[in-house]
Amino acid sequence: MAYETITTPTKLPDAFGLTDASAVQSQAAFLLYLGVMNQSKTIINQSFRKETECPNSDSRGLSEDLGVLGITAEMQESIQKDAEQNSNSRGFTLSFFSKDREIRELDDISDIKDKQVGNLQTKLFNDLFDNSNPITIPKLIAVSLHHPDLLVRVAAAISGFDVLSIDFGSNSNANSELGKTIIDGVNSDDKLIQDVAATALARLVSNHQKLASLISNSSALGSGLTTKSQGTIATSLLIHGTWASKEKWWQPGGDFHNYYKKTCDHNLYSGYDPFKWSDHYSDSARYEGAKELVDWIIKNELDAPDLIGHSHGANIAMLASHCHNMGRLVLLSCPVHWDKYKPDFKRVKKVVSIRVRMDLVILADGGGQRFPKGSGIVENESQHVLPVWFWHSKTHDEDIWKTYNIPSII
Amino acid sequence: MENLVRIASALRLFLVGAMWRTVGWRWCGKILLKAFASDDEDFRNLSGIFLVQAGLRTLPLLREELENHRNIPLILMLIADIGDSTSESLIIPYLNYDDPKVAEAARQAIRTLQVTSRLMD
Repeated sequence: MAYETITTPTKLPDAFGLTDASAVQSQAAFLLYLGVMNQSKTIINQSFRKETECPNSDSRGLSEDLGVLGITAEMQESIQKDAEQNSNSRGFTLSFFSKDREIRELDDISDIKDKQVGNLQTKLFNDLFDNSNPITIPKLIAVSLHHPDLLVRVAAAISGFDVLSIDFGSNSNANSELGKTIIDGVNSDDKLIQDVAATALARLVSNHQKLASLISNSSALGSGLTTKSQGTIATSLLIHGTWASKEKWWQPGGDFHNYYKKTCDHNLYSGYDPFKWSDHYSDSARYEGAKELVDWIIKNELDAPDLIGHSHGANIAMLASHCHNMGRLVLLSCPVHWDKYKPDFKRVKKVVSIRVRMDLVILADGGGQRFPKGSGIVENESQHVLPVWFWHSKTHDEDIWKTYNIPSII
Repeated sequence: MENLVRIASALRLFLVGAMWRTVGWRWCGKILLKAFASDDEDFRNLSGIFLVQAGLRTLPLLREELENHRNIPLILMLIADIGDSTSESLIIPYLNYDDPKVAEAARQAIRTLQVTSRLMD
Protein backbone atom coordinates (compact mmCIF):
# COMPACT_ATOMS: atom_id res chain seq x y z
CA MET A 1 0.00 0.00 0.00
CA ALA A 2 1.32 3.42 -0.89
CA TYR A 3 0.54 5.70 2.02
CA GLU A 4 -0.92 9.01 0.93
CA THR A 5 -0.23 12.21 2.84
CA ILE A 6 -2.74 12.48 5.65
CA THR A 7 -4.12 15.87 6.55
CA THR A 8 -7.02 14.65 8.68
CA PRO A 9 -6.18 11.38 10.40
CA THR A 10 -8.84 8.81 11.22
CA LYS A 11 -9.69 8.96 14.90
CA LEU A 12 -9.32 6.07 17.30
CA PRO A 13 -10.96 3.72 18.02
CA ASP A 14 -12.80 4.09 14.68
CA ALA A 15 -9.51 3.44 12.87
CA PHE A 16 -9.41 -0.11 14.24
CA GLY A 17 -11.27 -2.37 11.87
CA LEU A 18 -10.57 -0.12 8.88
CA THR A 19 -7.77 -0.83 6.45
CA ASP A 20 -7.48 2.36 4.42
CA ALA A 21 -4.22 4.32 4.53
CA SER A 22 -5.40 6.91 7.03
CA ALA A 23 -6.80 4.32 9.46
CA VAL A 24 -3.72 2.14 9.22
CA GLN A 25 -1.42 5.07 9.97
CA SER A 26 -3.53 6.11 12.97
CA GLN A 27 -3.29 2.58 14.35
CA ALA A 28 0.47 2.46 13.79
CA ALA A 29 0.95 5.85 15.45
CA PHE A 30 -1.02 4.77 18.51
CA LEU A 31 0.89 1.51 18.87
CA LEU A 32 4.24 3.32 18.62
CA TYR A 33 3.03 5.78 21.24
CA LEU A 34 2.14 2.93 23.59
CA GLY A 35 5.64 1.56 23.16
CA VAL A 36 7.30 4.87 23.93
CA MET A 37 5.15 5.34 27.02
CA ASN A 38 5.89 1.87 28.31
CA GLN A 39 9.65 1.69 27.87
CA SER A 40 11.21 0.51 31.10
CA LYS A 41 12.40 3.28 33.40
CA THR A 42 15.91 1.85 33.44
CA ILE A 43 16.27 2.18 29.70
CA ILE A 44 14.86 5.68 29.70
CA ASN A 45 17.22 6.80 32.43
CA GLN A 46 20.17 5.39 30.52
CA SER A 47 19.26 7.18 27.36
CA PHE A 48 18.67 10.50 29.09
CA ARG A 49 21.72 9.93 31.29
CA LYS A 50 19.97 11.41 34.25
CA GLU A 51 17.16 10.62 36.60
CA THR A 52 13.89 11.17 34.85
CA GLU A 53 10.31 10.27 35.38
CA CYS A 54 8.51 8.09 32.90
CA PRO A 55 8.06 10.09 29.72
CA ASN A 56 4.68 11.63 29.19
CA SER A 57 3.03 12.69 25.98
CA ASP A 58 3.49 16.28 27.04
CA SER A 59 7.26 16.01 27.38
CA ARG A 60 7.37 14.25 24.04
CA GLY A 61 5.36 17.04 22.44
CA LEU A 62 2.71 14.53 21.44
CA SER A 63 -0.32 15.53 23.43
CA GLU A 64 -1.71 17.90 20.84
CA ASP A 65 -1.47 15.39 17.99
CA LEU A 66 -2.84 12.61 20.17
CA GLY A 67 -5.86 14.80 20.85
CA VAL A 68 -6.49 15.03 17.11
CA LEU A 69 -6.26 11.23 16.94
CA GLY A 70 -9.02 11.01 19.52
CA ILE A 71 -6.85 10.35 22.57
CA THR A 72 -8.07 13.01 24.96
CA ALA A 73 -5.91 14.50 27.72
CA GLU A 74 -7.78 12.30 30.21
CA MET A 75 -7.01 9.18 28.17
CA GLN A 76 -3.36 10.20 27.87
CA GLU A 77 -3.22 10.59 31.62
CA SER A 78 -4.72 7.15 32.07
CA ILE A 79 -2.09 5.60 29.77
CA GLN A 80 0.62 7.50 31.63
CA LYS A 81 -0.68 6.21 34.96
CA ASP A 82 -0.83 2.67 33.65
CA ALA A 83 2.75 2.95 32.39
CA GLU A 84 3.98 4.25 35.74
CA GLN A 85 2.23 1.52 37.68
CA ASN A 86 3.22 -1.35 35.44
CA SER A 87 6.64 -0.38 34.14
CA ASN A 88 8.99 -3.37 34.55
CA SER A 89 6.31 -5.46 36.18
CA ARG A 90 4.00 -6.71 33.50
CA GLY A 91 5.33 -10.21 34.02
CA PHE A 92 5.41 -11.59 30.50
CA THR A 93 8.15 -12.59 28.11
CA LEU A 94 8.98 -12.66 24.45
CA SER A 95 7.06 -15.89 23.87
CA PHE A 96 3.91 -13.93 24.61
CA PHE A 97 4.21 -12.46 21.13
CA SER A 98 4.86 -15.73 19.35
CA LYS A 99 2.37 -16.76 16.68
CA ASP A 100 3.54 -20.34 16.81
CA ARG A 101 2.69 -21.11 20.39
CA GLU A 102 -0.55 -21.73 22.11
CA ILE A 103 -0.70 -18.64 24.25
CA ARG A 104 -2.60 -19.28 27.41
CA GLU A 105 -3.20 -15.66 28.28
CA LEU A 106 -4.46 -15.06 24.79
CA ASP A 107 -6.53 -18.15 24.21
CA ASP A 108 -9.23 -15.97 22.75
CA ILE A 109 -6.97 -14.82 19.94
CA SER A 110 -4.73 -17.82 19.30
CA ASP A 111 -6.47 -18.62 16.04
CA ILE A 112 -7.14 -15.12 14.97
CA LYS A 113 -8.51 -14.27 11.55
CA ASP A 114 -7.93 -11.00 9.76
CA LYS A 115 -11.47 -9.79 10.24
CA GLN A 116 -11.34 -10.38 13.96
CA VAL A 117 -8.29 -8.20 14.43
CA GLY A 118 -10.19 -4.95 14.26
CA ASN A 119 -12.86 -6.07 16.70
CA LEU A 120 -10.30 -7.28 19.21
CA GLN A 121 -8.20 -4.14 18.84
CA THR A 122 -11.28 -2.01 19.51
CA LYS A 123 -12.21 -4.08 22.54
CA LEU A 124 -8.69 -3.89 23.99
CA PHE A 125 -8.48 -0.18 23.23
CA ASN A 126 -11.67 0.40 25.21
CA ASP A 127 -10.38 -1.88 27.98
CA LEU A 128 -7.33 0.36 28.25
CA PHE A 129 -9.49 3.11 29.67
CA ASP A 130 -12.32 1.20 31.32
CA ASN A 131 -10.96 -2.11 32.45
CA SER A 132 -7.18 -1.99 32.20
CA ASN A 133 -4.82 -4.52 33.70
CA PRO A 134 -1.06 -5.00 33.19
CA ILE A 135 -1.67 -7.32 30.26
CA THR A 136 -4.03 -5.12 28.24
CA ILE A 137 -1.30 -3.26 26.36
CA PRO A 138 0.75 -6.39 25.54
CA LYS A 139 -2.49 -8.01 24.35
CA LEU A 140 -3.27 -5.09 22.06
CA ILE A 141 0.26 -5.32 20.66
CA ALA A 142 -0.03 -9.11 20.21
CA VAL A 143 -3.36 -8.77 18.40
CA SER A 144 -1.96 -6.04 16.17
CA LEU A 145 0.85 -8.37 15.09
CA HIS A 146 -1.87 -10.27 13.21
CA HIS A 147 -3.02 -7.20 11.30
CA PRO A 148 -3.15 -7.59 7.51
CA ASP A 149 -1.16 -4.38 6.98
CA LEU A 150 2.61 -4.54 7.43
CA LEU A 151 2.85 -0.99 8.80
CA VAL A 152 0.61 -1.90 11.74
CA ARG A 153 2.51 -5.15 12.33
CA VAL A 154 5.85 -3.31 12.29
CA ALA A 155 4.55 -0.67 14.71
CA ALA A 156 3.28 -3.43 17.00
CA ALA A 157 6.63 -5.23 16.88
CA ILE A 158 8.53 -2.04 17.75
CA SER A 159 6.16 -1.44 20.63
CA GLY A 160 6.66 -5.02 21.78
CA PHE A 161 10.41 -4.47 22.00
CA ASP A 162 9.89 -1.21 23.84
CA VAL A 163 7.56 -2.77 26.39
CA LEU A 164 9.86 -5.73 26.96
CA SER A 165 13.04 -3.60 26.85
CA ILE A 166 15.02 -6.53 25.52
CA ASP A 167 18.18 -6.54 23.48
CA PHE A 168 17.56 -6.95 19.77
CA GLY A 169 21.21 -7.93 19.41
CA SER A 170 20.77 -11.44 20.77
CA ASN A 171 19.90 -14.13 18.21
CA SER A 172 16.83 -15.40 19.98
CA ASN A 173 15.32 -11.95 20.20
CA ALA A 174 16.18 -11.02 16.62
CA ASN A 175 14.68 -14.28 15.35
CA SER A 176 11.50 -13.89 17.35
CA GLU A 177 8.21 -12.93 15.76
CA LEU A 178 8.86 -9.35 16.78
CA GLY A 179 12.39 -9.26 15.37
CA LYS A 180 11.38 -10.84 12.11
CA THR A 181 8.51 -8.39 11.67
CA ILE A 182 10.84 -5.42 12.07
CA ILE A 183 13.26 -6.86 9.52
CA ASP A 184 10.31 -7.46 7.15
CA GLY A 185 9.61 -3.77 7.53
CA VAL A 186 13.20 -2.79 6.75
CA ASN A 187 13.01 -4.97 3.62
CA SER A 188 9.73 -3.41 2.54
CA ASP A 189 9.53 -1.51 -0.73
CA ASP A 190 7.28 1.00 0.95
CA LYS A 191 9.30 4.02 2.02
CA LEU A 192 7.17 4.79 5.08
CA ILE A 193 7.32 1.25 6.43
CA GLN A 194 11.05 1.06 5.73
CA ASP A 195 11.70 4.38 7.50
CA VAL A 196 9.67 3.41 10.56
CA ALA A 197 11.30 -0.01 10.82
CA ALA A 198 14.84 1.17 10.14
CA THR A 199 14.59 4.06 12.58
CA ALA A 200 13.43 1.66 15.28
CA LEU A 201 16.11 -0.86 14.39
CA ALA A 202 18.77 1.84 14.68
CA ARG A 203 17.49 2.62 18.15
CA LEU A 204 17.24 -1.02 19.26
CA VAL A 205 20.53 -2.25 17.82
CA SER A 206 22.54 0.53 16.25
CA ASN A 207 25.07 -1.61 14.39
CA HIS A 208 22.70 -4.05 12.72
CA GLN A 209 24.08 -5.19 9.36
CA LYS A 210 20.76 -4.42 7.70
CA LEU A 211 21.25 -0.74 8.52
CA ALA A 212 24.78 -0.70 7.22
CA SER A 213 23.60 -2.11 3.90
CA LEU A 214 20.80 0.45 3.71
CA ILE A 215 23.20 3.31 4.31
CA SER A 216 25.78 2.04 1.83
CA ASN A 217 23.01 1.69 -0.75
CA SER A 218 22.23 5.38 -0.24
CA SER A 219 18.75 4.48 0.71
CA ALA A 220 16.25 7.26 1.11
CA LEU A 221 16.25 6.47 4.81
CA GLY A 222 15.92 9.41 7.17
CA SER A 223 19.58 10.26 7.15
CA GLY A 224 19.51 11.59 10.67
CA LEU A 225 20.28 7.98 11.48
CA THR A 226 23.73 7.44 12.75
CA THR A 227 25.06 4.18 14.02
CA LYS A 228 27.41 3.64 16.91
CA SER A 229 29.70 1.64 14.66
CA GLN A 230 29.75 4.51 12.23
CA GLY A 231 30.03 7.26 14.78
CA THR A 232 32.00 9.48 12.44
CA ILE A 233 28.99 10.21 10.24
CA ALA A 234 28.58 13.99 10.33
CA THR A 235 25.20 15.19 11.48
CA SER A 236 23.69 18.60 11.65
CA LEU A 237 20.37 20.05 12.72
CA LEU A 238 18.28 23.14 12.16
CA ILE A 239 16.96 25.14 15.09
CA HIS A 240 13.98 27.44 14.69
CA GLY A 241 13.63 30.85 16.27
CA THR A 242 11.02 32.55 18.45
CA TRP A 243 7.36 31.91 17.61
CA ALA A 244 8.47 29.70 14.73
CA SER A 245 8.15 26.13 15.98
CA LYS A 246 5.19 25.57 13.68
CA GLU A 247 6.90 27.02 10.60
CA LYS A 248 7.55 24.46 7.89
CA TRP A 249 10.91 25.70 6.57
CA TRP A 250 13.06 24.10 9.27
CA GLN A 251 11.19 20.81 9.63
CA PRO A 252 12.02 17.64 7.67
CA GLY A 253 10.30 18.06 4.32
CA GLY A 254 10.27 21.86 4.61
CA ASP A 255 11.76 23.91 1.79
CA PHE A 256 14.88 25.16 3.56
CA HIS A 257 15.42 21.81 5.25
CA ASN A 258 15.34 20.08 1.86
CA TYR A 259 17.66 22.66 0.33
CA TYR A 260 20.22 22.47 3.15
CA LYS A 261 20.16 18.69 3.15
CA LYS A 262 20.66 18.50 -0.60
CA THR A 263 23.27 21.23 -0.88
CA CYS A 264 25.19 21.47 2.38
CA ASP A 265 24.92 18.29 4.40
CA HIS A 266 23.27 15.07 3.36
CA ASN A 267 23.37 14.04 6.99
CA LEU A 268 21.14 16.84 8.22
CA TYR A 269 18.90 15.33 10.91
CA SER A 270 15.68 14.24 9.24
CA GLY A 271 14.21 11.87 11.80
CA TYR A 272 10.64 11.85 12.97
CA ASP A 273 11.30 13.88 16.09
CA PRO A 274 13.36 16.93 15.15
CA PHE A 275 14.48 19.17 17.99
CA LYS A 276 11.88 21.76 18.88
CA TRP A 277 11.97 24.23 21.75
CA SER A 278 9.13 26.16 23.36
CA ASP A 279 9.76 29.16 21.02
CA HIS A 280 8.71 31.60 23.72
CA TYR A 281 10.21 35.08 23.79
CA SER A 282 12.15 35.20 27.04
CA ASP A 283 15.61 34.53 28.42
CA SER A 284 14.23 31.68 30.50
CA ALA A 285 12.74 29.98 27.46
CA ARG A 286 16.12 30.19 25.72
CA TYR A 287 18.04 28.75 28.68
CA GLU A 288 15.46 25.99 28.95
CA GLY A 289 15.68 25.48 25.19
CA ALA A 290 19.46 25.09 25.38
CA LYS A 291 19.13 22.47 28.14
CA GLU A 292 16.56 20.59 26.08
CA LEU A 293 18.81 20.77 23.04
CA VAL A 294 21.71 19.17 24.92
CA ASP A 295 19.39 16.44 26.22
CA TRP A 296 18.10 15.87 22.70
CA ILE A 297 21.62 15.61 21.25
CA ILE A 298 22.63 13.11 23.95
CA LYS A 299 19.46 11.10 23.51
CA ASN A 300 19.97 10.91 19.77
CA GLU A 301 23.67 10.13 20.21
CA LEU A 302 24.85 12.85 17.84
CA ASP A 303 28.57 13.39 17.92
CA ALA A 304 29.48 17.11 17.79
CA PRO A 305 26.73 18.08 15.36
CA ASP A 306 26.70 21.25 13.27
CA LEU A 307 23.93 23.53 14.53
CA ILE A 308 22.21 25.91 12.16
CA GLY A 309 20.13 28.26 14.27
CA HIS A 310 17.86 31.05 13.14
CA SER A 311 17.16 34.14 15.24
CA HIS A 312 17.07 33.24 18.95
CA GLY A 313 17.53 29.62 17.87
CA ALA A 314 21.12 30.72 17.17
CA ASN A 315 21.44 31.94 20.76
CA ILE A 316 20.17 28.58 21.97
CA ALA A 317 22.84 26.87 19.87
CA MET A 318 25.54 29.07 21.44
CA LEU A 319 24.30 28.39 24.97
CA ALA A 320 24.18 24.64 24.31
CA SER A 321 27.84 24.65 23.25
CA HIS A 322 28.77 25.22 26.91
CA CYS A 323 27.52 21.71 27.75
CA HIS A 324 28.33 19.64 24.67
CA ASN A 325 30.92 19.55 21.90
CA MET A 326 29.60 20.93 18.64
CA GLY A 327 30.82 21.11 15.07
CA ARG A 328 30.04 24.35 13.27
CA LEU A 329 27.61 26.90 14.65
CA VAL A 330 25.88 28.66 11.77
CA LEU A 331 24.07 31.68 13.20
CA LEU A 332 21.37 33.07 10.93
CA SER A 333 19.98 36.53 11.75
CA CYS A 334 21.11 36.16 15.34
CA PRO A 335 20.05 38.95 17.71
CA VAL A 336 23.35 39.58 19.46
CA HIS A 337 23.19 39.80 23.26
CA TRP A 338 26.84 39.14 23.91
CA ASP A 339 26.54 39.59 27.67
CA LYS A 340 24.03 36.75 27.80
CA TYR A 341 24.62 34.45 24.85
CA LYS A 342 28.01 33.46 23.56
CA PRO A 343 29.51 30.18 22.44
CA ASP A 344 32.15 28.16 24.26
CA PHE A 345 34.84 28.45 21.58
CA LYS A 346 36.74 25.51 23.09
CA ARG A 347 33.81 23.23 22.32
CA VAL A 348 32.99 24.40 18.79
CA LYS A 349 34.95 23.91 15.59
CA LYS A 350 33.80 27.07 13.87
CA VAL A 351 31.29 29.88 14.29
CA VAL A 352 29.78 31.59 11.24
CA SER A 353 27.23 34.39 11.38
CA ILE A 354 25.03 35.31 8.41
CA ARG A 355 22.79 38.34 8.61
CA VAL A 356 20.95 40.94 6.57
CA ARG A 357 21.44 44.68 6.82
CA MET A 358 19.37 46.54 9.38
CA ASP A 359 17.32 43.56 10.40
CA LEU A 360 13.99 45.00 11.58
CA VAL A 361 13.23 42.18 13.99
CA ILE A 362 16.63 42.54 15.65
CA LEU A 363 15.98 46.28 15.86
CA ALA A 364 12.72 45.62 17.64
CA ASP A 365 14.33 42.99 19.86
CA GLY A 366 16.98 45.49 20.95
CA GLY A 367 19.78 43.06 20.20
CA GLY A 368 22.95 43.88 18.33
CA GLN A 369 23.06 43.35 14.59
CA ARG A 370 26.71 42.34 14.67
CA PHE A 371 29.01 40.57 17.07
CA PRO A 372 31.30 42.95 18.95
CA LYS A 373 34.99 43.37 18.22
CA GLY A 374 36.99 41.00 20.35
CA SER A 375 34.15 38.50 20.45
CA GLY A 376 36.11 36.03 18.34
CA ILE A 377 33.52 36.22 15.57
CA VAL A 378 35.42 38.39 13.13
CA GLU A 379 33.80 40.68 10.55
CA ASN A 380 34.25 39.43 6.97
CA GLU A 381 35.89 36.23 8.16
CA SER A 382 33.20 34.55 10.17
CA GLN A 383 30.62 37.33 10.23
CA HIS A 384 28.96 37.89 6.85
CA VAL A 385 26.51 40.62 5.97
CA LEU A 386 24.35 39.89 2.93
CA PRO A 387 23.50 42.73 0.56
CA VAL A 388 19.88 42.26 1.55
CA TRP A 389 17.97 44.63 3.75
CA PHE A 390 15.48 44.47 6.59
CA TRP A 391 13.98 41.00 6.49
CA HIS A 392 14.88 38.70 9.33
CA SER A 393 13.56 35.58 7.61
CA LYS A 394 15.63 36.04 4.44
CA THR A 395 18.58 34.16 5.94
CA HIS A 396 16.60 30.93 5.72
CA ASP A 397 15.35 31.61 2.21
CA GLU A 398 16.59 29.08 -0.34
CA ASP A 399 16.76 31.68 -3.14
CA ILE A 400 18.95 33.95 -1.03
CA TRP A 401 21.28 31.05 -0.25
CA LYS A 402 21.57 30.27 -3.95
CA THR A 403 21.98 33.89 -5.08
CA TYR A 404 24.73 34.67 -2.59
CA ASN A 405 26.29 31.22 -2.59
CA ILE A 406 26.05 30.93 1.17
CA PRO A 407 27.06 27.25 1.19
CA SER A 408 30.55 28.33 0.14
CA ILE A 409 30.70 30.85 3.03
CA ILE A 410 29.81 28.50 5.82
CA MET B 1 6.71 47.38 -5.26
CA GLU B 2 5.73 44.45 -3.08
CA ASN B 3 8.84 45.00 -1.02
CA LEU B 4 7.98 48.67 -0.55
CA VAL B 5 4.54 47.75 0.71
CA ARG B 6 6.07 45.29 3.15
CA ILE B 7 8.55 47.87 4.39
CA ALA B 8 5.77 50.41 4.82
CA SER B 9 3.77 47.83 6.80
CA ALA B 10 6.77 47.08 8.99
CA LEU B 11 7.42 50.76 9.65
CA ARG B 12 3.77 51.18 10.54
CA LEU B 13 4.17 48.37 13.06
CA PHE B 14 7.18 50.16 14.57
CA LEU B 15 5.12 53.32 14.91
CA VAL B 16 2.12 51.49 16.34
CA GLY B 17 4.43 49.56 18.69
CA ALA B 18 5.93 52.79 20.01
CA MET B 19 2.49 54.33 20.53
CA TRP B 20 1.21 51.23 22.29
CA ARG B 21 4.14 51.31 24.67
CA THR B 22 4.04 55.01 25.41
CA VAL B 23 0.41 56.11 25.06
CA GLY B 24 -1.37 52.77 25.24
CA TRP B 25 -4.08 53.50 22.72
CA ARG B 26 -6.20 50.43 22.49
CA TRP B 27 -6.41 50.35 18.71
CA CYS B 28 -2.61 50.14 18.61
CA GLY B 29 -2.66 47.00 20.73
CA LYS B 30 -5.37 45.57 18.49
CA ILE B 31 -3.26 46.15 15.37
CA LEU B 32 -0.30 44.45 17.00
CA LEU B 33 -2.43 41.47 18.04
CA LYS B 34 -3.74 41.10 14.51
CA ALA B 35 -0.23 41.15 13.08
CA PHE B 36 0.91 38.61 15.68
CA ALA B 37 -1.67 36.15 14.39
CA SER B 38 -0.43 36.49 10.80
CA ASP B 39 1.43 33.82 8.85
CA ASP B 40 4.28 36.17 8.02
CA GLU B 41 7.22 35.28 10.25
CA ASP B 42 8.72 38.79 10.16
CA PHE B 43 5.50 40.61 11.05
CA ARG B 44 4.70 38.06 13.73
CA ASN B 45 8.10 38.61 15.32
CA LEU B 46 7.88 42.39 15.19
CA SER B 47 4.39 42.66 16.64
CA GLY B 48 5.06 39.96 19.26
CA ILE B 49 8.18 41.74 20.47
CA PHE B 50 6.30 45.05 20.77
CA LEU B 51 3.47 43.42 22.70
CA VAL B 52 5.85 41.69 25.11
CA GLN B 53 7.97 44.81 25.56
CA ALA B 54 4.88 46.77 26.59
CA GLY B 55 4.58 44.30 29.48
CA LEU B 56 1.75 44.89 31.94
CA ARG B 57 0.10 47.35 29.57
CA THR B 58 -0.61 44.46 27.21
CA LEU B 59 -2.12 42.13 29.83
CA PRO B 60 -5.67 43.61 29.96
CA LEU B 61 -5.88 43.35 26.17
CA LEU B 62 -4.81 39.70 26.32
CA ARG B 63 -7.31 38.98 29.09
CA GLU B 64 -10.03 40.42 26.90
CA GLU B 65 -8.96 38.21 23.98
CA LEU B 66 -9.19 35.18 26.25
CA GLU B 67 -12.67 36.18 27.38
CA ASN B 68 -13.71 36.38 23.75
CA HIS B 69 -12.06 33.03 22.92
CA ARG B 70 -9.83 34.53 20.25
CA ASN B 71 -6.46 32.92 19.33
CA ILE B 72 -6.19 31.37 22.77
CA PRO B 73 -2.89 29.45 22.24
CA LEU B 74 -1.14 32.58 20.94
CA ILE B 75 -2.52 34.72 23.74
CA LEU B 76 -1.41 32.24 26.41
CA MET B 77 2.06 32.30 24.90
CA LEU B 78 2.24 36.10 25.08
CA ILE B 79 1.01 36.14 28.67
CA ALA B 80 3.86 33.80 29.63
CA ASP B 81 6.41 35.80 27.65
CA ILE B 82 5.46 38.98 29.50
CA GLY B 83 6.60 37.02 32.53
CA ASP B 84 4.41 38.44 35.29
CA SER B 85 4.00 35.60 37.76
CA THR B 86 0.62 36.88 38.96
CA SER B 87 -0.82 36.16 35.52
CA GLU B 88 -0.54 32.41 36.16
CA SER B 89 -4.16 32.51 37.27
CA LEU B 90 -5.14 33.60 33.77
CA ILE B 91 -3.52 30.49 32.30
CA ILE B 92 -4.52 27.78 34.79
CA PRO B 93 -8.18 27.47 33.65
CA TYR B 94 -6.94 26.41 30.22
CA LEU B 95 -4.84 23.48 31.42
CA ASN B 96 -7.75 21.08 31.03
CA TYR B 97 -9.34 22.75 28.04
CA ASP B 98 -11.13 20.50 25.55
CA ASP B 99 -9.01 21.60 22.61
CA PRO B 100 -5.64 19.84 23.05
CA LYS B 101 -3.82 22.71 21.30
CA VAL B 102 -5.06 25.10 23.97
CA ALA B 103 -4.26 22.71 26.83
CA GLU B 104 -0.75 22.19 25.45
CA ALA B 105 -0.20 25.94 25.05
CA ALA B 106 -1.34 26.45 28.65
CA ARG B 107 1.06 23.80 29.96
CA GLN B 108 3.94 25.35 28.03
CA ALA B 109 2.99 28.82 29.25
CA ILE B 110 2.98 27.69 32.89
CA ARG B 111 6.36 26.03 32.38
CA THR B 112 7.81 29.23 30.90
CA LEU B 113 6.43 31.35 33.74
CA GLN B 114 7.86 28.96 36.33
CA VAL B 115 11.33 28.94 34.77
CA THR B 116 11.23 32.72 34.47
CA SER B 117 10.38 33.10 38.13
CA ARG B 118 13.12 30.57 39.09
CA LEU B 119 15.68 32.56 37.11
CA MET B 120 14.59 35.79 38.77
CA ASP B 121 14.91 34.37 42.30
